[in-house]
Amino acid sequence: MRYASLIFFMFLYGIYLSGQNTSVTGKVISSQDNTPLIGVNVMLSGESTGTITDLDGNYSLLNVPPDGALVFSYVGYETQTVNVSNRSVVDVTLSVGNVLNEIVVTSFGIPKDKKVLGYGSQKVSGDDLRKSNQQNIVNGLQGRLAGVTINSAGGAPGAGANINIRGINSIGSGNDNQPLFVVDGIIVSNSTNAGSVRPSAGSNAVNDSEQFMNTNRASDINPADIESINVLKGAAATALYGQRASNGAVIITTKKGKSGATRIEYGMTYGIQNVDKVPELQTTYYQGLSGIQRALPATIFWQFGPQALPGDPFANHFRDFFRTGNTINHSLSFSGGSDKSTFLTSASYFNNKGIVPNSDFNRITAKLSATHQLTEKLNVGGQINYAKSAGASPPSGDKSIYSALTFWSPNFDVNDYLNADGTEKDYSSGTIDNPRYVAETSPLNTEVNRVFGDINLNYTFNSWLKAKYQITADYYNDKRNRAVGADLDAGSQVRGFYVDQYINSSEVNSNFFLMSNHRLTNDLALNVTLGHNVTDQLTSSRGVRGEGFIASGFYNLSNTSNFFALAPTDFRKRLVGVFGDVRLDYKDFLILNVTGRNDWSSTLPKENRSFFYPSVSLAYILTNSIIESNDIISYAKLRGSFAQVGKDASPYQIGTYFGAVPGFPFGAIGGFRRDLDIGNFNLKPEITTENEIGLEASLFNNLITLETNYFVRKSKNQILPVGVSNVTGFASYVTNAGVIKNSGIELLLGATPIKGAFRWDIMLNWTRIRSVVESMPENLKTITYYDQGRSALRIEEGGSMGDLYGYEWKRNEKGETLIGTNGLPTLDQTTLVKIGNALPDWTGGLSNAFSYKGLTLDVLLEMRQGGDMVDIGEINAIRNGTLAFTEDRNKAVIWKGVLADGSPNNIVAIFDENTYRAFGINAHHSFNIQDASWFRIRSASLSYEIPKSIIGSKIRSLNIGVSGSNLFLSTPFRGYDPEALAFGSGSNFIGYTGRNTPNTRNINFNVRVGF
Amino acid sequence: MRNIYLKISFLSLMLIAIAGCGDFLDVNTDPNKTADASLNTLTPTILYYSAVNTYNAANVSNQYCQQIGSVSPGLTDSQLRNTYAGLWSNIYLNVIPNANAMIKKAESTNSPHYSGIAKVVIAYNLGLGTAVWENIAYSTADNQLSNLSPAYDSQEDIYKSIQKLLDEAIVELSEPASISKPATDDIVFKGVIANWVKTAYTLKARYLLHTAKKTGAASYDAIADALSKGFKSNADDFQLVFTDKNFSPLYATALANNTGNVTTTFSATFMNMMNGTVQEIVDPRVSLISYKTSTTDPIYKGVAPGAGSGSNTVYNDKTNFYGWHFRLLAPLQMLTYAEAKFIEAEALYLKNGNVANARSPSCLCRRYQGEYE
Repeated sequence: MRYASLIFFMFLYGIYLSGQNTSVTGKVISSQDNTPLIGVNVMLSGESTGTITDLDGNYSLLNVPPDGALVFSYVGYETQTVNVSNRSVVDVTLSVGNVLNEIVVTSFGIPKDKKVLGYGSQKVSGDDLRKSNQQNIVNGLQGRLAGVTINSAGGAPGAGANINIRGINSIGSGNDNQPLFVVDGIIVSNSTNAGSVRPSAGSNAVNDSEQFMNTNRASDINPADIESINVLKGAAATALYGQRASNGAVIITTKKGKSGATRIEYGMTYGIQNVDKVPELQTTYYQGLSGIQRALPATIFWQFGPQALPGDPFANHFRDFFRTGNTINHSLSFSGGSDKSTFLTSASYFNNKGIVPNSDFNRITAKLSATHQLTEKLNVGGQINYAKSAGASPPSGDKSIYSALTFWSPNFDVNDYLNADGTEKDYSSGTIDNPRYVAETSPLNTEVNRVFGDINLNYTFNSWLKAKYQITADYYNDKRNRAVGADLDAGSQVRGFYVDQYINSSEVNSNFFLMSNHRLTNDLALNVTLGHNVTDQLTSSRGVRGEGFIASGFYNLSNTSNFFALAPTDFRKRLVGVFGDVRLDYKDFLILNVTGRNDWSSTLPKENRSFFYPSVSLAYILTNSIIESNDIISYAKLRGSFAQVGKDASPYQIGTYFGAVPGFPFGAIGGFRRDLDIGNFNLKPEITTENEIGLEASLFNNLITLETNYFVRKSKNQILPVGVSNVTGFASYVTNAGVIKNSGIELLLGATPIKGAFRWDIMLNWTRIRSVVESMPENLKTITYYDQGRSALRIEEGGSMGDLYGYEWKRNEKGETLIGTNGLPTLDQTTLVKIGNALPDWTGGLSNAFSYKGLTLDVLLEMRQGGDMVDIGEINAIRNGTLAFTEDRNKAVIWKGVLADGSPNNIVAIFDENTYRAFGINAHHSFNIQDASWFRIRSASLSYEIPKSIIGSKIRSLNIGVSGSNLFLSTPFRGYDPEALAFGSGSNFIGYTGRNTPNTRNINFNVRVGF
Repeated sequence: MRNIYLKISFLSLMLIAIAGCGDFLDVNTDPNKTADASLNTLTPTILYYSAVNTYNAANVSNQYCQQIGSVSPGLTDSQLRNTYAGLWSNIYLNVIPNANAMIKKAESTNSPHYSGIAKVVIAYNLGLGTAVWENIAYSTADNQLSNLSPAYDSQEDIYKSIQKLLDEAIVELSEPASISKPATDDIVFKGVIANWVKTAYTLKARYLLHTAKKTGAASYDAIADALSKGFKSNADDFQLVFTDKNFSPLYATALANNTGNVTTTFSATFMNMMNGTVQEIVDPRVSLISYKTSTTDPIYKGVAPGAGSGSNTVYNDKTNFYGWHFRLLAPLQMLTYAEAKFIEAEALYLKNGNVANARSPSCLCRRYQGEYE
């Protein structure tokens, strides 16, 4: 292939140019007290592997070019780069430093000194990630990142989590706004697959995403394997990844083996979980209607009966439905190495029995990674990861557990769900399902098998030129099935159904780099990276749905009478890119970085297939030039960047197609129809332009560290389906239209008020992001993502992403509410008015860590101010009078407003069940759109490192602890925890919650042993 | 110097490597769809959607005419403004583009029979559209985005287009040879072309009758002439029998009613005309088409138009009786011999009677025969 000849060519050149390498040894001590530092990372400049200092602070590194440079880095100390200068012994003294000088991993796994970066990024250590004991790594990042919004999809086992960096940039409702996930240079999928889970008739679900909270695939990664995560936020940071990372990138670095004795780590966590918040019920009124109790066989799920008597059974069925769940996690790893090789192997097992009966999630992971120095110049490495994630997920959304729960009357035991003959116990004569029966009989069963890994070759020509080739692959198979009996609401119209589906996804990436760094003059250093990338992606799905069960009780495809093939899909996408990154370092204080990338994408029309985007960033280290490092300011850096990133279309937008008619074959006859959507034959890529400025400073002798960014990001040529007059023969036209702007401020403030035997670290993050839809196309002035009937998630020109629209009362010209002759206001049903916005005004997280002699206490608080949500399930409970919200009733009121003649209203109206049950009243926004601001204790953990004197010499370390997450929640929102998204992860339908499994409060006990 | 030389060489090597990337990226064609559908896969589509459109039009119009009604109060049968959901989009998205594709393909493959069928179907759907909305688009329809603000044709022009389409269809259907011939893909007539010719003629008659008052006395003869070449018996009916997997929308409605999701059922106005309340006799067909709401009910009842079912009567009969129109495998009738007879009667009546005194058969009378217009 073409690559082979390229590599061969360079080997020849390299061998011709190289010099002789030697081994270097030395000792590393601390400047504070001249004590040896143990475990300091010693690497060859530009590498990401190396060695560590031993118990005496000594290290030994082989194959060091005589004119090379060694990088010494250690947590809490300033990183130092020292030129070898032909020496064989290099001793180093490290001074206490701050996080702003550490090594961070950037695009393609290339480590860089944070000092030289002209853009913002934020690193979270693996230990911090694991503090909350969340097994989905996206959940583990909650509360710590500035500029990043993370929402869980609820507390069901295996439920996904959604992550957005610096706002929502692509306004098309089906467009992807999630960042790129990279593990050691391997691009891994974080998709959430909703599959096809609905029957051919009888479902009112908006889409498949709302029916189950499917897992986001990054949860296949074992958190115990992670060394650190670096979040690249802006376009300048992700410029080298091109359009794959137009929404940012999450760069994950896993633990590596280090040369020396083999290390064994074992960790076990046992946890219990409970539902954290449920809707509040009223206990003043008994079941019934119009003040009269009702008796079977009449329908009896209203709570508008007589006043309850002491002794009447009232339970909070929202709470009683959930049980205590539990989790168990085991992880084991072996790592080590010699002077030529390193290896790491790990395995883990995780099991979660959820708070919903008959729900669970299991995950097994296994990993093997190794590096080997083949020759002096050639290093080979690779890893292979396997994960199996499987579980039973509880039904949510339309005709689910939660829709049934909102109808349920608290006077009936929600767990008494079976008759003596095993059939569903139903007090509602078939109007609603018993939610427990739904949970027990129709979960979504999924099993995902996944493999991802890479092989990489690193060749060092000489001290200033290197080449790297990496081939990566990520493959997973998602097998899922769901059975719905004819006795359930969701299946009644088709006499029950069974869906069986396979989803396969594979991606292969080939990456080639040439890296050089050269000191041009004493003042000027030049760093050049050139690269070539090829990506090949394929996602396929196949499935079948059988409807009409024949024999009762046997839920299997073979027992159905009508088969429907699920529309087969095969989405293939290929990308070729070349990029270059040039960095000029002037006197160590002025750093200019210029990048350029050109992509060729298969999904755009041939003439528009190639597109180029550049970026420029400048970093100015004040304390290395105009400001002398002093007691107040020890480090200060100003930086600014301009970057552009393109984004291509989904596959197959270009061309006219005929596809199978939905529901066909008709009997045995097949039929095709022309697609209802068509793409612009001249489709261009979306272009995002971002300007960012930032300040990094370290004050008062590293007592305080500060990092702040301000960014403005504009996305143009949004690829959107624009609705067109059906007379044209099409329903929508996918074209470039629309401009959206996201701007914001990110603040990271760290402090160490107390240092010494007792240590106190504080880290505050604060974010404020504003979004404006600057322009929308001519014939698409409004995009309605979701119209719920009483509210809508919609954007209009001049509005923002996340705008929630609702209904207002009819008002007169003076803005006063008009009251009718019946004493009631009238709903203006013709116009939806902008009422609120689902995105928060600002978010913040505060982490406090205290440590004293091996005892560590960590508390992470998180707050979201602003952000409105609609509880989709609540309306049924309002109409039935079960909620505390409806306790206020049966009284005479005078609504505030004016009569038709302008005089103040004086008509008395009765506020009773008819008020709550009337659409004309309960569709008003005050019943639907609520303030969902919240404050919570995101996690807290207490751990104790048992002193060496007690554990002896056989064990290297022993740590026990207790931790918890979602420990406290304070919010004005009436229903469940408003963080849980109704449409799950990977969806742009924000602002809605309430019909899925609520978040859980978790308490965990951990033990970690190291040998 | 050596460094720069090196860099240039590497760069040029890379560019060479990239040069051959064209084919690698030519993968943007959906393998699960086709760019060119064959005639026998388009025919079932337009016939299926014509039947669905018939239901979409009838479901609203029949409620306005109080033959069927909503179980919940204040809905369609309250004669509020209605958008006839699905009818417009189905005509312009699912019928006309696919029928046009059929005509083009038939022309290029010398298969006039298919072209004839497509034209009959377009005429039929335009007829539904203009009956509901008066002025609708046809000359600007299926313009493939060349005209994003298409103007509508006047109803007069639509009726002219309908007659023109039917005339052309009759000529094409009467061609002796057709390279591709419809067979089982013709889910209505199974490829019997003679039935299509009769359908075209009877449709001509129906639409000529619509415009007869405007076009004058000569049309009555044209109607009689067309009918003479049209349907000869109930066996000729233009109707679609759905399958036990692809439910007829009528069956789906009844199935929903029988499984707790009640929507529409017979209206009291209609039932009272058949159960002896309004006329003094009971129409013997009432027991075949309707059902009693409970086993103790003496007569067949319907819902009060606009007011719903009143009390909490549940509308699922315990014996799951579906009625002639709503049962599984009931035909969804689009044009029938019975209608042809009524057209014949009305044409004669109008021709021989004084127009000022002529009373058209009531809308209800025609519905009685199971017509949907």
